[in-house]
Amino acid sequence: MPELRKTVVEIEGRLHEEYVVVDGEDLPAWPEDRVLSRVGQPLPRVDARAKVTGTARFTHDIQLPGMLHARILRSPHPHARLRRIDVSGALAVPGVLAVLTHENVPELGWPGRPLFDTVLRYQGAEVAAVVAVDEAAATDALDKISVEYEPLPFVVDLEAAVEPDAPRVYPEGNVSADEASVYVRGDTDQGFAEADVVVEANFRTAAQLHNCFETHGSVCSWDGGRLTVWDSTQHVFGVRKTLAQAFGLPMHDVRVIKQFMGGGFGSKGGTGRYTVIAALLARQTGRPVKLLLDRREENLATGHRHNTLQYIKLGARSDGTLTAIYHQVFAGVGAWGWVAPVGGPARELYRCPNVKTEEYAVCLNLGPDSAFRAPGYVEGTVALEGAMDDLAVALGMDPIELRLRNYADTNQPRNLPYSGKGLREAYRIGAELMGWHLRETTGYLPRKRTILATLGGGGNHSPEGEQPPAGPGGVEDLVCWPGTQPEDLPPHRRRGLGMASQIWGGGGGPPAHAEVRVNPDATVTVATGTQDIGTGTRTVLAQVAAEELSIPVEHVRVLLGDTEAGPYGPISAGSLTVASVGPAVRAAAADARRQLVELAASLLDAKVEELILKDGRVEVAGSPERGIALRELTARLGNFMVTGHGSRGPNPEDVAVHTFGAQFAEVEVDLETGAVEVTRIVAVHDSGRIINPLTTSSQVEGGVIQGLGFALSEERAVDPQTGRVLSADLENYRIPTALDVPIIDHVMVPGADLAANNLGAKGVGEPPIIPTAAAVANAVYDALGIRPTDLPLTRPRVLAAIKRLEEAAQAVEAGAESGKEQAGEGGTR
Amino acid sequence: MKPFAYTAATSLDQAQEILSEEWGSRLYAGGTDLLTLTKRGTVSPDHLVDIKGLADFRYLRHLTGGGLAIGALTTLAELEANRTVHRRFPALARSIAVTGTPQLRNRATVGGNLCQQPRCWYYRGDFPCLLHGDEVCGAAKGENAYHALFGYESADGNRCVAVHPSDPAVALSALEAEVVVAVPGEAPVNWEATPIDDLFQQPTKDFPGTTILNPGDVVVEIRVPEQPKGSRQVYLKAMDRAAWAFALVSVAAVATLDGNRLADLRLALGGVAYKPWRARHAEEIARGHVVSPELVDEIVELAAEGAMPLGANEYKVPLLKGLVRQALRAVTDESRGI
Repeated sequence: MPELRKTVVEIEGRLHEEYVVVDGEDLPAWPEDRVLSRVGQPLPRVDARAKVTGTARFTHDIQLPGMLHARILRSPHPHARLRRIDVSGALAVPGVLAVLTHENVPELGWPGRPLFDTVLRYQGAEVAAVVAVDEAAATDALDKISVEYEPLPFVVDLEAAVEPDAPRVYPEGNVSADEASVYVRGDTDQGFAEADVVVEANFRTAAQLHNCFETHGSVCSWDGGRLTVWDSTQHVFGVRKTLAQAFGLPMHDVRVIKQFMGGGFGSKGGTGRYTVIAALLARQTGRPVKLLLDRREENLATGHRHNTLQYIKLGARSDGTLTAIYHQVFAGVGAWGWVAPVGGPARELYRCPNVKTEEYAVCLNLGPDSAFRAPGYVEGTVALEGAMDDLAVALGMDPIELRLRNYADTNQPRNLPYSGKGLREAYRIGAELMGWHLRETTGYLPRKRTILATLGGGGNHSPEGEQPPAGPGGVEDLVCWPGTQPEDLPPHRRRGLGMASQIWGGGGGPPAHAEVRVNPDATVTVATGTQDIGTGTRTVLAQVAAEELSIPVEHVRVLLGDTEAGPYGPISAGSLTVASVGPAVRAAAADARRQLVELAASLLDAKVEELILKDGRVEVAGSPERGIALRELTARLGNFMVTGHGSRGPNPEDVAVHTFGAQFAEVEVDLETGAVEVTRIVAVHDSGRIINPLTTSSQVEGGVIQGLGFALSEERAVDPQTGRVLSADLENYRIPTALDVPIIDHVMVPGADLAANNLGAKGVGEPPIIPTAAAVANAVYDALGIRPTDLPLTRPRVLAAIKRLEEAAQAVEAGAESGKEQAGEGGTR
Repeated sequence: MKPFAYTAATSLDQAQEILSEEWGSRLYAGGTDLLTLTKRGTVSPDHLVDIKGLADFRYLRHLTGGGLAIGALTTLAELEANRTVHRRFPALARSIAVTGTPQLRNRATVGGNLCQQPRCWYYRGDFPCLLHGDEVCGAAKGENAYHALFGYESADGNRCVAVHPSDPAVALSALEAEVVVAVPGEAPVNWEATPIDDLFQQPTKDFPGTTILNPGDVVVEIRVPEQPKGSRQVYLKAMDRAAWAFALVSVAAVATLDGNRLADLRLALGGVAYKPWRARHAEEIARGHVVSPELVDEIVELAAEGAMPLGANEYKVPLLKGLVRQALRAVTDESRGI
């Protein structure tokens, strides 16, 4: 019986309390010692053949009879007022059927901002849309639209935008202190006063662009009053809801389909403006319309990981116990957007009674931001774990020892114990695999480094008219003598080891529903309204259903990615699909199994309680001769299809469900050329029970590689003079190539999280990207003796750090010559 | 993209005739540069004259008296795979191996590689650029981390500060190669060989071209002279990532050692000027001297002599010095790696 329950659900690092309908009592998780034969197997993807042979159809592959093509004209200016627009030239292009602008766009129930605005706040903002018989005509027509813009003052630099006299994206200003996300636990003033050691640091991270292989886009088709949309989306049900609202349609008249996906990474969570535009043009022309964005549009207007400016301050007693953490974040969200929980790691990762985090959104005349794989936590981990290594240096402690000293057994913001936390184990396994002990004996940096000098660093930044409660005007960086280096290295190369920790949600939650249909030949169809955004959802769900029904995985077919295929599935984001939809599929399979056993009971003249379903047979426990093959049983039912229903149960109330992990990086830095070479990454994560080690390994490697891009090369570049993006293509926006990928060793901490859900499994999509950049930066710190503060670690930044190192060395040498001993005491400031 | 005419040329004469007479016609060979420029709308040719099929210009030939003649339509992949190139011109082989990707090298011709347009993101985007006919160079005071250290005279915006993107050009410069240019209407016997460095010119507001070639001029051959016996060569390239990136800075070094003495040294720098930049002063100082740490320091300093950082490319000075130092190490001391 469906039942209304209240539960806490975490998505992308933020908690939401909501009412959800759940379908009956949940099953207990498979116990730790249960031998599972389908779950846990490294099965290749069930749709691998379709993908490699090209029969898998992505949104770009959709071709419909009579289909038209649309393109969008976008603002060339970062900030402008639209004075006048004349589309007559475009309409005169042969093959063009219609042009939409702010002047003729119909009224919609669309909850978003206007589809075509008259104040354009970023390069790439929609100005008009053209629909034509082919893409070439539509593209040519864009050039024929005559637009008069009044350019307005713009701001594209995060540090400039927080200044009071900066050009304003909105009349209210670029930073709103009222809308800041502020978290306080305990009293940080008190905490810093109790500290024996205080370290502080500024960090900058760059805007990262998703660059999914498959660009954003939709194909929209009307059939009478019904709208069908093939969309590149992470949430078919979300798009259905918004489109029904926009066009005033009953929900059952909107169908959204996403069968195969070339990546989303958080940028395809909402309903695209291009989708609404395509649907409008399709309605207007009475023909299907395809609207796909190109790589440039993708990099201007479909979201990004916001760049950040962070100030962090840690206080600790001399034994390493943290007494206070203060973390202040300014995030460049673009023309509009959200601040991801950059302060999340500071709030949660370490046991600390006094914590304050402040997260400010800073508007810029750049495209709006969006979620990007572990939004906020990637950036925040760079700052927190960088500062922790500073603290380790200041205290003369091993970085892992310092982290263990502050190990948190409870989720402090919620004051709940963790359902499971394998972080200690992750540290142990990772340290062993990486040879962390070498850091202390031969070769690597000595445990206690000599602090050579302190250097003036960057300034502190505060929202308009408000001084941050802590933090001085400038931050000093430590410069340390590196220790002995391994003998196999030439003198101009330095090797370093670094590590960083990971905390994230990934526990999922309701609502998520599924149906399991058992066909007369005992094959099974799983139907659920989730989507596979490329992570292997089809495969994993097939394994779960096959396990519960004890049938071969090949006998299961999973229908998803279609609002008409199955019941509601949540957005594929927040690493929640396996932990949300998986348990619903298991519950539905269990429901089907119960019905099958009941049917068998009457056929076998046995009691339900006596029967077991095993290896495709229902039989009386202990008397296998009294049994019936599943296939025989279902055949007896004629054309009846046994249908099981299942839903994700509520989240546990007495524990907090999280994923954990640690990554270790080994780097070599060339002192002569500033090249940073990551030679090895060890990734150890705890995501509970692993359903498929093969798809998990793809996730871990993908996360690490995307993290390496963030650490080393990926950076949106903007021209300060025109406010336009210079790196809107794959030549100038540098994602890692195959040759940039180091050895990646990864291990999942064994064990299931039995309290999390009926699978004991948690998400693995986002965790692996979280600590990579921080681990790499800390390894570079270890190699150079100077902590990197700005990512990515491109040559200009690394060579500048090396220069500062050399200057410090010269200063010390000069000091030594004049008889003043400066080197020596490591310690505090 | 604007519609254009296409002619598959059957002879060089035919191609040159169209190219010299039709304004808006463009030479098309591998197309790895021209097609991307056309698709982005940076250039809008009316007529593409395809010379890929001219088999007469796709060859590798030994020159009498040593050296190698390379037909301009030879692909980079063909050059890369050639044993003579590997054995006698390892700097050239290496410069090709680190160019683009295997797919690009299969398609790109060596002539096209030399004649390619700058990769400057102002030129290739919708930004002010002298090559677009704009009044000012946007990079001079903009995001110029990838731009020139040498040869632009003044960062007043009247001079292009882009760098030449070719890797092979830098190696060929250090090898003192020449290019043979076919001029329309002239008989092949009259085609002149020009030192490779002189093929390039710095674009200015009045002359926004990157080479000395006039319409209809075609680079048909590259001549690499025989190198002194025992010459040692290296090509080092610093990139933003491990592959498929243009040089931040690159160095080609060709050294001839007489025992411990540097009989000859040639140093060409890439990624720092509108052409391969020869560090001539450093070469002179090196010549005839015994290799010593002091000499290496001096060469390194002189290689960067006259560098004029633009703002965001200051890092190229230490990078250049570091690469020169590593190149010297590689060519003077076989026992030590780079």
